Amino acid sequence: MPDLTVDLGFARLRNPLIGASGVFGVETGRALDLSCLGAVVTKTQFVGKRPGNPLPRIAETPAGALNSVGIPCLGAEHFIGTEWPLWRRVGCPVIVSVGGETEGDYLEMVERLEEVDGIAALELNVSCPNQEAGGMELGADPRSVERLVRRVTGRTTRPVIAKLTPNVTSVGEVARAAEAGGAAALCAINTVPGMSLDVRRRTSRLGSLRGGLSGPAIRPIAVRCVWEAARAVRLPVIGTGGVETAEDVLEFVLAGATAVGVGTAAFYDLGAVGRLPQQVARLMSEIGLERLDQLRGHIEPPTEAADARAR
Amino acid sequence: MTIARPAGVTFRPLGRDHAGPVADRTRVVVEVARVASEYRRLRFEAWPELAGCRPGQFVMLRPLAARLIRRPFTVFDADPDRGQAEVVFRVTGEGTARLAGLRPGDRLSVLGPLGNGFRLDPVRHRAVVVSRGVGMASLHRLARHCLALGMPTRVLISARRPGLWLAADALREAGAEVFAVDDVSGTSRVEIVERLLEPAFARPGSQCFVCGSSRLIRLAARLGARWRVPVQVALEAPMACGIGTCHACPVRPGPETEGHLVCVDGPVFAAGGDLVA
Repeated sequence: MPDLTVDLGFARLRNPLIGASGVFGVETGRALDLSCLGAVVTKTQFVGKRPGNPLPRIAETPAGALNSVGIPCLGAEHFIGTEWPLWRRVGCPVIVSVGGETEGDYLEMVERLEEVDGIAALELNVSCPNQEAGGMELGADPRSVERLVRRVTGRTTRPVIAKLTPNVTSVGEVARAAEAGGAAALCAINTVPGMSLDVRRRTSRLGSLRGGLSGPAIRPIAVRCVWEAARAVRLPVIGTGGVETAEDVLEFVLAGATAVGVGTAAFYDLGAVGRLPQQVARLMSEIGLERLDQLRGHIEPPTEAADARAR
Repeated sequence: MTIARPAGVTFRPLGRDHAGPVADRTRVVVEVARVASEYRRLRFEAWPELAGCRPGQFVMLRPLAARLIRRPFTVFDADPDRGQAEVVFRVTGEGTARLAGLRPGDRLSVLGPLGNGFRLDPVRHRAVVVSRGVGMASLHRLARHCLALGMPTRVLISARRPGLWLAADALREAGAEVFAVDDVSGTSRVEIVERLLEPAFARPGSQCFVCGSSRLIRLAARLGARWRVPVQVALEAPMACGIGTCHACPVRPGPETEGHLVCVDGPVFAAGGDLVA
């Protein structure tokens, strides 16, 4: 039986699978035992209440889902008092995703979370493309990322994961900025900005016109971003984007990821998500791996023979 | 279920039926058939908790072979003895087209049972069931349940044209007093429907269940307010998860907070509001 455990530096996970932010809630536990995952990330939490975006909020696209939910949120008090006690019972480490409309919002939220026990890490959502005010602009600018991560790590005792946007010229540069700011790990990638229009109705399929694309459609983008980020820093990278199968999980590991997020697949096949850890173990046996670090980042140059086989 | 959210009508949750386990399973398609000219009836193998779910509860479905987000459907009929369940829908996009294209023996990904069903008030012994179009898909089991309990049940079925009266004959045979109206003859006009429904609301001990257009929901809510008859409405919304996580399905997203979700706070709500009687 191969060893599925992974070491993120600040935490050792029973397997590399992490339930991605926005897709898993405590209510997911009704349909899937979350203790099958290595860890799970909450929806992004803001210090204040937030409404969501206009409907419709989710549209299907070829091999993907386009969403513009807008991260509706009931605020720090509700999260800490009502939701967090439920999260503590899900049976795997829980990472809290933190958002903010201003830098002050982020700092206030991480300080509020200091009073809460049991949080495995904080994930900074600096890249959510739905936020007109902050998100995309902040995550796309290396100096802003470094500054935010530095100020956040100064206010929290918890490890901080910076979640990167794919929407930059150089993922490596932003990754280095997050590392310089004191991040304990990186997560790549958030959704890719997209749009889908209905020509018959002459409308967008999303109420707020644009959205973030997720699912298998973005996997090659995510794999490339993880590869670039992992080469640029010494930090562990959590690779996320369109993971469905054990092969996808190992693809991210080969690109340099230490752990692997699974998100959109949970919307269409929660059962398959539950089976992933075993399937990863089976695939590792099949290709002769005892530990995941034997694969991590070890990309071989293509050969003619391999090329021919792939057809 | 209906996506209609008429202005002036409020939707209040009835409370959670259960927060028990929801199963995500692969099941076999038994039959796909055309019904009432433009609807499809999809029958599949279920499991006991699903075949025995409450009228108004729903499932999320997708063909196993398609990498699609699942679509929500109220269970139209369920047969616990044979371990089967049915949904009825109209083909409106890729998801429903792929489901309509399934053949017996094909595999289906099924998540359920989900949401909260209709709540019968045991003291009220008459039922008024009001549907528009495919809305009957959400009301059919409830109507049958009322009839099985021996409740006098008046059913109003409104459709664009006569061929689209879903389940009209079957419910009539089962003992319901069925009024079928349509746009072609003009019988579906609100004033006419109001005249058909009001005597039923006026009888003591009535309760109303509605799924359909904004006009019909508003009418039912207005008659309910006038005659102090409780009105329950099955709402619909596009959704991705069915269990309260994705937030695609708020009843009415508020200016400050999200408010209720169709999937976990509904899909059946009490309809009310400050309506001019």
